[in-house]
Amino acid sequence: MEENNKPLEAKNEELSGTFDSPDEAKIDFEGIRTLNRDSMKPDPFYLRLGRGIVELLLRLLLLIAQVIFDVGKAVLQVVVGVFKYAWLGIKGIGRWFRNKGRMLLETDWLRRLNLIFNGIGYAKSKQWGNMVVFLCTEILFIAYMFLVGGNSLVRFVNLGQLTEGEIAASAHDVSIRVMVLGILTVFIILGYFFVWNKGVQGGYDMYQIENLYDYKQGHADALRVLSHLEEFDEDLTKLSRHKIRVLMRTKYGYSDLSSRIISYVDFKRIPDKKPLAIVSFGLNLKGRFYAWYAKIGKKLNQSTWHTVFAKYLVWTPKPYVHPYGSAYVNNLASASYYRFLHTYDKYNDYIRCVRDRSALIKVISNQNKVIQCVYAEDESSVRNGIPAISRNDPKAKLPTKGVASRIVGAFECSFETAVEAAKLALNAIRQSQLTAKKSKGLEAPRPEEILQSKADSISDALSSFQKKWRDDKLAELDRQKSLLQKSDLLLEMAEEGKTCFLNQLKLQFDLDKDAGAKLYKEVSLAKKTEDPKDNLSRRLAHFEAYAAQFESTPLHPSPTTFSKQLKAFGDEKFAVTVMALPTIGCLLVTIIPLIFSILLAFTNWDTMNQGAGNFGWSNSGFPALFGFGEGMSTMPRTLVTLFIWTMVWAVFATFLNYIFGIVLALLIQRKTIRGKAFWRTIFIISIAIPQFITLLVIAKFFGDHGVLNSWLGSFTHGVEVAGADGAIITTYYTGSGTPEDPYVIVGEQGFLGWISGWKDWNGNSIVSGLKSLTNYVEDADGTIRAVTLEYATKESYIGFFSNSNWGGWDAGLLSVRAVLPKINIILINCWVGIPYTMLSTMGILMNIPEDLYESSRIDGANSWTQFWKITMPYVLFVTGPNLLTSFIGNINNFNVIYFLTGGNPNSQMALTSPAGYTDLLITWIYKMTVTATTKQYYLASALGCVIFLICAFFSLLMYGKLGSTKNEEEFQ
Amino acid sequence: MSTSVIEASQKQAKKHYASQKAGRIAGDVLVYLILTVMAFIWLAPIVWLVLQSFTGEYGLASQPKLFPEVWSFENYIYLATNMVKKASGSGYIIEDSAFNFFWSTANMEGKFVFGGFMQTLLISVFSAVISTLFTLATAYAFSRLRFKARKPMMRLILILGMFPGFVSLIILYNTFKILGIGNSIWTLVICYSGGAGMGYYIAKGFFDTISKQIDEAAMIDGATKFQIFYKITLPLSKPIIVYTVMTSFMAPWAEYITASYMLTGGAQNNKTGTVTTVSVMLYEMVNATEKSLPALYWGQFCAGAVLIAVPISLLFILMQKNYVSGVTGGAVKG
Repeated sequence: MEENNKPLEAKNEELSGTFDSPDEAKIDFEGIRTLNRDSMKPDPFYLRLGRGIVELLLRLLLLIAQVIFDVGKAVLQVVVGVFKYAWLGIKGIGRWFRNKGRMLLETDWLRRLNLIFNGIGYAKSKQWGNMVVFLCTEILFIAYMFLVGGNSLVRFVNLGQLTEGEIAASAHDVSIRVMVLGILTVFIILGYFFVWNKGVQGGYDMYQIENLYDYKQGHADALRVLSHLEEFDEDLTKLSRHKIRVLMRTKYGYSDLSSRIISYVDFKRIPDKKPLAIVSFGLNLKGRFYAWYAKIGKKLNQSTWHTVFAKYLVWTPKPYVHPYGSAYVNNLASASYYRFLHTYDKYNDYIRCVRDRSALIKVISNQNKVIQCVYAEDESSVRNGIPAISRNDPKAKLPTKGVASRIVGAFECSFETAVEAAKLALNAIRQSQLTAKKSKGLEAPRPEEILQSKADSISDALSSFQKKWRDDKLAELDRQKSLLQKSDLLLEMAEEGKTCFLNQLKLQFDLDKDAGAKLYKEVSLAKKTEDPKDNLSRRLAHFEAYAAQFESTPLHPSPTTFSKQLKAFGDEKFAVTVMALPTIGCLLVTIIPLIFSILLAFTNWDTMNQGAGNFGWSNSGFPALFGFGEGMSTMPRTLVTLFIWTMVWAVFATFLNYIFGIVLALLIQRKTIRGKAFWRTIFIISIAIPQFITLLVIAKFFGDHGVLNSWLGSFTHGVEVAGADGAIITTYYTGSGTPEDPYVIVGEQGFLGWISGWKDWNGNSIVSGLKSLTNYVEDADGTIRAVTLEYATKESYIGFFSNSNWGGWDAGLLSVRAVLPKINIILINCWVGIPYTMLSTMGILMNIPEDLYESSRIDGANSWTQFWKITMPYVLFVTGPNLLTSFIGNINNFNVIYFLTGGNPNSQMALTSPAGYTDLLITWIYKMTVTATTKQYYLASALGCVIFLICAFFSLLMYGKLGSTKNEEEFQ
Repeated sequence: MSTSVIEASQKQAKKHYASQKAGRIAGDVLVYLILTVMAFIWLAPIVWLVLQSFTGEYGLASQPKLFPEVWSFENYIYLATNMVKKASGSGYIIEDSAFNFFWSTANMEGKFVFGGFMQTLLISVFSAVISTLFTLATAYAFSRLRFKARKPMMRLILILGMFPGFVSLIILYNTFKILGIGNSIWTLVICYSGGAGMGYYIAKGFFDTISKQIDEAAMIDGATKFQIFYKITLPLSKPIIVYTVMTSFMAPWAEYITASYMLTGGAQNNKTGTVTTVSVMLYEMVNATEKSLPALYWGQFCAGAVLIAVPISLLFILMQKNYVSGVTGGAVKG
């Protein structure tokens, strides 16, 4: 029996023990009693059973809700599917919905099921790994929602209406748990939607691939494309490019960019809903597509791929009209041009690398042509010849550039030649147009005739240039042959060894190492087998063999396996792998608490009101900050006072450090100064020592009764006062009535006494803890007046961090107090901060190219001009962004204030309780939640939001003006 | 005629150079003077701290002297043995210190318990490992990889940096309390290293300076992105790895606010062995000890501060080159 009783008693003690602290005594007393009673007397069996049943029912309800949720997703799809055609009308908007709708209408039951149970659709394509992963996420999600999520969501919504028992147990903890879980659940739901979307996409992609890349159809399509023969009807439904992109990315493991490029290949659908066919290509992309085609079909190795690519990059297509019109194609062209130059992708990497290799220079020149070809697409008239002109305004000028680039594409001639050709052709057309117009009155020429004449003139012009192009081509071949002959001469060198050969190549042909090595390989190979002079023809034959090979090879799709997808996390998706953990860490440690604290600002959660209840505006921290609510009347004054001081502090702390840091760096960096490293190290030591240590030491040193004041006090001898007769009065006379002769001060007061006379306009002395002596003096007219003598004692001190009166003034909201501590803080912050600026500026100064100075000296600039025209702009440019970050950092600078003054001095009358005159907003937050007796978490959160707004304001103000943030890529 | 002109011009030039030289020397003297004065100002507190750590004055009910009158090495010894020398009457007594600096076996159960120094060491080792991984991963991804969320994430991190971190510390504290991992070294390890990815700027600046052509060449030869990172970028970025490890290792030694807020056990842990860090302990040595004995732990504070500051300063001076290149590089690259 005793043993049974003991734990209960202990429990009672524990529970009643919580009442001891005054803060928690406010917690609902009844609630705890009830809990207490409950724990002593367990409920009868039937009650517990009933409760259990109710809970089970609730859980089941949740499960049903889950099912409804899943079905809801499907319904969403149906609804969206219905609106499919409405969306189709609006280009570029709602593509996601459109594709989902199409999917719903066009798929089989398995993939429709995929909408409800994520990942089922993978079963059909036998991608078991994918299916398991997606199904697992589905099950995990359902389990989470069933066990925790649903519950926490419901409670999250009902925050502040927690049950009595919960509040009694520990309202504080419960409400935090509810909020944390609630936020987590919201994140999990969002994440689930993301995964679900992926799963649905995956199933649909498989469906498309199977239909798109039908074995025979694919083969036939490829042949058709290769033979340049086909031109298809234009009224075929187009497969969305986005879809193709997704499909190439997910199924063939292409990077995002590559798949996007492939998607520019036009896929068109044959009217009878037969599998899709590859129809025509954007000019710029054809070569690339072939390269990939080769890669898919033959699994070529890298170098073979390059050769094939090099050949087919210049392959010329049949012209075609883009169904989206010229604006679209223009965008496409500029986009692809941009991609050529800038983007970071496997393909483009190849291009960029190739650019450096002299052996493949031909590829590059061709590439430029291809880029020009892109522009050809913007002119449909080129393709249709004359009809387009006659259809449109006859006066409209044909853009020469478009025609010219078309010619470049068609004949592989240089762009200049093409422009000439185009001009000729266009002049011919215009001439015929004019003639037609003149003869209009006499005899209307038949449209066919006009067309014919225009077409003739163009083809004449073109054919003349075709000849030129052939010559170009032949010259090119000759050049290659000569190169080979040279390499033939070099064969002897090859005998001596590879290095020698490479060096010779470098000297004679300016070929780099890689190209040289390739040539060496070729030459040595050729030497073994055949006459090197046949090398060119052999290589061409080689190309042709490849072309024939992959032209005859069917396009056979190989869906990405699960292991391939896993491997992608080491390659294309490496970013995901790398970013996963840091992102989760950031989410847990920064983002969730942040959201939480923002939510908290809308409650009235403090030690009096536990439980984060009363979610809303009127009780929240924001109205309180602006003075509404009980006991908050001094709040606006405090806010304004501290805000002004925060701004003043941030400006001084940032710019003083910046300016003097640069000055110091310049002093050390002066040419004639010796021992630069020595001087630098001296200042660096103060950075290296942890800030809190130096600040504590300084605070101790300058404290009210700190080391300096004690030392100063040790020179203070007090004051000796002599009466009228010259005898020294040792007792203080407080003066209760009888007037006497004025005092005479005898003896020294020391330094403190001397400096105590330094008073501001309000008569406040800079020295605190002065004692005073009052005497009464009778004036000539008989009035008696008090004369007060202030003097310093050993207990007097200079309030470096506590003097609140000296130098201040009253002006309502704009009153300024504690001037001395503020000045001291700023000065000491200079001590802390100047070495940082010095250090970074030193690095920059060392980096300024010396020839800038030399050339300016030759031009007659003196050192002053050099400083303002070279040094300062350079330093400013590099450290500009640092100014912004250090300004924001100073607004949130906790350490300096906390360790030096702790926000003191404070005045209970003027400012709201925990705040002091030297508090920044951030230390005020700290005080609210740590040192205050009633810890006002909601106020702290609201204030945090205010600080954020301030910082964001300044960032927006300055961010746009920083050049280096704008064009990040250019610096790389 | 012409010779006299030349002579005159030579004279003038000489005069000119002489005046220039005089000006330069005067300038040099001025600069040396300024530098000397500044060096004194910057070194004085540090020298003073070191001097104070050798004070032999013990446990007086008064402030420390400007210069110690008695010199001794006792502060270090007492700090290491968790003792304190206290004035008593005309002599002194040696008591158990309230603080456990390195380690102690003199607690209630007689167990071996780590003190603030060792605990900080543990925390800083763990957080250095984790935050280095996070920082380098984030910086590498932002610098070298191109993915859809890159720009938005960078912008988000910029925005997140503007919220005062202390506010979310309140939430974190309560969350850890619920999860039952409050007041342990893991609390601080998570706090210090969880959001480390957000401080990617300097490392990114460094990665940006590594030539991309190397990557491209590797890619041509068929390397995956992971292989490029592991075999090419990592070996090239030794300086920044050293720098990141060092800074994240040094952070817990110099950090006060998080440690003092998250660890509620107090720093006077000689008997209890609660988790604390050096900074909290030193702060309490100065500020929160008995009011009647304001200078009881002053000497030990100085000794402890020197013990921390010396290795950290040495590390810092050794790697200041990295620091400079990191700061400036990061600044240019935005």
